[in-house]
Amino acid sequence: MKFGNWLGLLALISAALVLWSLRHSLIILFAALVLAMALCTLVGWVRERLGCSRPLALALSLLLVLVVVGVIATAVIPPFVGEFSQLLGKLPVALATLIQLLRDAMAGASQMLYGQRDGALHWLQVGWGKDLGSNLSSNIGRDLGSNLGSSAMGLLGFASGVGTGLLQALFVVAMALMVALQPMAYRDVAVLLVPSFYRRRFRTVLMHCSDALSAWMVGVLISSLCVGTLAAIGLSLLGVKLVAANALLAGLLNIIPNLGPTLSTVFPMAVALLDAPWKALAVLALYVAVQNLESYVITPSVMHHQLQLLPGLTLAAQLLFTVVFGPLGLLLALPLAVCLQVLVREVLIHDILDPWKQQRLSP
Amino acid sequence: MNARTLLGIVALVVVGLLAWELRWVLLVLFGAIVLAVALDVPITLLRRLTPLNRPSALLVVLTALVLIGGWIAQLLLPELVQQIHQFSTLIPAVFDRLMALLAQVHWISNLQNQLLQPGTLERLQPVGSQLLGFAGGAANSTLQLVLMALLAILLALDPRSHQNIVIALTPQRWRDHSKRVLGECRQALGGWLAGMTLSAVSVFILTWAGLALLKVPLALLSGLVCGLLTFVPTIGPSAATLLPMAVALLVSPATVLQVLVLRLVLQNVEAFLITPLLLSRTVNLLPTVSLMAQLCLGALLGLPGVLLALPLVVVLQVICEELLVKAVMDRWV
Repeated sequence: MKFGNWLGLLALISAALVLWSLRHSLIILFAALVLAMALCTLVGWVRERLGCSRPLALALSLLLVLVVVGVIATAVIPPFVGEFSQLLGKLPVALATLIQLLRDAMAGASQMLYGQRDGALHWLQVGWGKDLGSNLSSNIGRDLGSNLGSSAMGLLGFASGVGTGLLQALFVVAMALMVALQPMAYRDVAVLLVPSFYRRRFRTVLMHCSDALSAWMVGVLISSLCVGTLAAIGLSLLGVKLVAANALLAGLLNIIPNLGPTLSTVFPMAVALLDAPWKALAVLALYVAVQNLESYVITPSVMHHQLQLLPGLTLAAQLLFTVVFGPLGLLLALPLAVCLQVLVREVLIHDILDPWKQQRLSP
Repeated sequence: MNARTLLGIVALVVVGLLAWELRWVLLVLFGAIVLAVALDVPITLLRRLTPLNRPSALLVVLTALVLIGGWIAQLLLPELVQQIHQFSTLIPAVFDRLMALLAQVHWISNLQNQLLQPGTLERLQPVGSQLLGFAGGAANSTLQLVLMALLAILLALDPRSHQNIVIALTPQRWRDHSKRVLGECRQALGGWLAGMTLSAVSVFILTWAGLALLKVPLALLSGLVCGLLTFVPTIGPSAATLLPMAVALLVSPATVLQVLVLRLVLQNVEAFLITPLLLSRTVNLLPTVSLMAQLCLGALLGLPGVLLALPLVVVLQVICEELLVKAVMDRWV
C-alpha cells in the first residue's frame, strides 16, 4: 500500500468517527428525508391527477395536508384529550380491579385444592392480596402525589425535554419542506459525492430507494387506516368506552411493528376491565384478531412483494436502531430498514458480490 | 510498507488527534480568519482606488471603523443607555404581566406555589454555582474575543505570507491547486460576509423603522439586536423576535401580534428577496445544508460552533467541491 492509499483509509476512518458522533443529528436528517419523501409522493399523485406544474401541485398538496391535519386537530384532538385524561384517571381503578380479580382467582384455586375449611391459607391469601393491593395503590397514590407535588425541578426538566422535542419536530418539518421544494438539487449533490464511474448507477439506486420508501408509506397508511377502523368497529360492538381515543391510538401505534400493537392493547383492556372482566378478554381477542388480519391479509395485499421484510429482520432492525439512535430510531426503524434493504440488495449484492467470480490463488 | 510510510501514517494520526484536542483553539483561529477576511475586503477595495500600501490601508480601515463606531455610539448612545435603563426597569413589569397572563391557567399557579416552597431554595443552589461558572466563562470568552481580534489584525496586515505558509505545507505537485483553492475560499468568504453585512444592515434599518412606526418602545435596541442576529441564520432571527415582542407585551397584546407580523414579513423579505439578490453571484448554499451544518456543528462544538457554522460551511463547501468532487471523484473512472 502506498502513502496515498493510507491517507484515503485514514480519511475514511475519521469520517466514519465523525458521522458516528453525529448520529443523533443524522437521524433527524433521515426523519426529514422520510417526511419529504411522503410530501413528494403526494405531489406526484396530485400532478398525475391534475396535470399541473410542480409548484402548483406542491402548494395544493401542502394545502391538503394542512386541511387534513386541521380537521383532525379540531375534530378529534379535544375529545381525544378529554378521553385520554379520563383514561389515565381510570388506570389505578383498573389496577385495583385486576388485583381483586387475582385475589378471587387465588382464593378459588385454594378452595379447589384444599377444600372449603382451610381457613389459615385462605386468610393468608386474602391478607397478602389485600395488603399488596392496598399497599400498591396507596403507594402509587402517595408517590404520584408527592412526586407531582415536590419535584418541580423534575417538571421543569420534563418541560425542557418537551421543548427540545418540539424544536426537533419543527426542525424536521422545516427541513422536509425545504427538501420537498427542490428534491432534484439534493439528489444531484448526493450523486456528485460518489466516484464518476458509479454515478449513473447510483442515480438509479437512489430512485429505487425513493420508490421503496413511498411504496412503504402508502402501504403503512392504508394498513393503519384499516386497523383503526376495525378497532373502532370492534370496540363499539363490544360497547367499550373511549372508542375514538383507542382507535386513533391503535392506528398510530400500528406504524411501529411488534411493539406498537402490544402497547395499544393495554389501554382498551384497562378500560374494559372496569366494565366487566370478560370484556377485557374480548378486547384482547379482538386486537389479536385485528393484528393477525393486518399482518396476514391486509399488509401482503397492499405492500409489494419485494418490500416485505421478514418478521425476524424487522425485530432485529428495531432493536439495533433503538440502541444506536435512541427513541427516534425505534420510530424510524422500518423506513431505515427499507432503505438499507434496497442499498444492500443493489449495491452490495448486485454490484459487488455477484461479479466476484472465483479467482485463481496467486502463488 | 516501508519505514517512511509508517512514519508518515503515525505523524498523520498524531496530528489528527492533536487537532481534535485543540479544536477550541482552531475555532478561535477560524474566527480570526473570518474577521481578517472581513477586514481584507475593504482594504482591497481601498488599495484598488488609492495608491496606499497595505499597512496604511489597514490603518485607514481600522480608524474608519473606530470613527464610525464612535459616531454611531455618540449618536445613539444616550438614547440607547436610556433605553437599556428603561429595559432593565421594564423586565420586572414584563415578568409581572406574563405571570398575570399565566395565572389564569391554574396548574401554572400550582407550579409557582411549588417553586416558592422552602425546599426549592436548596435545590436552586447548584444553579448559583452554575451562575458563577457562567461568569468565569464570560470572562474567558471575552479574552478569546480579544485574542481573535488581535490575530485578525495581524493576519490582515500581511495575508500573502500566511497564505504562502499554507501553500508551502502541501506537496509540490498540489501547490498550484491549493493556491487556487485558497483563493476561491477567500472569494467565497468575502462575498458571503459582504452580502450578510448588507442584509443585516437592511434588516436593522427596516426593523427600526417598522417598530418606530408601530410606536413600540426600545425600537433602536430591538433593531440593533435583530440586525446582529441576522448573521446566525434560521435560529438568530427567531430568537431576535423575542425581545421586541416582550417589550410590545407591555403596550398591549394587539401590538405583540403586530410586531410578530412585522418581523415575519421582514424576515421573509430578507430571506427570499434581499439575500438571494446579494448572494446569488457568490455562494449558493442549499438551505438544508446550512440548517444541518448548524445542528451538527452545534452538537460537536457547542454555541461557538453554531455562531461560526455558516462561514465554516461556506469554506467547507468550496474545499469539498474542489478536493473531493473535482480532484478525487471526477477522476475516479
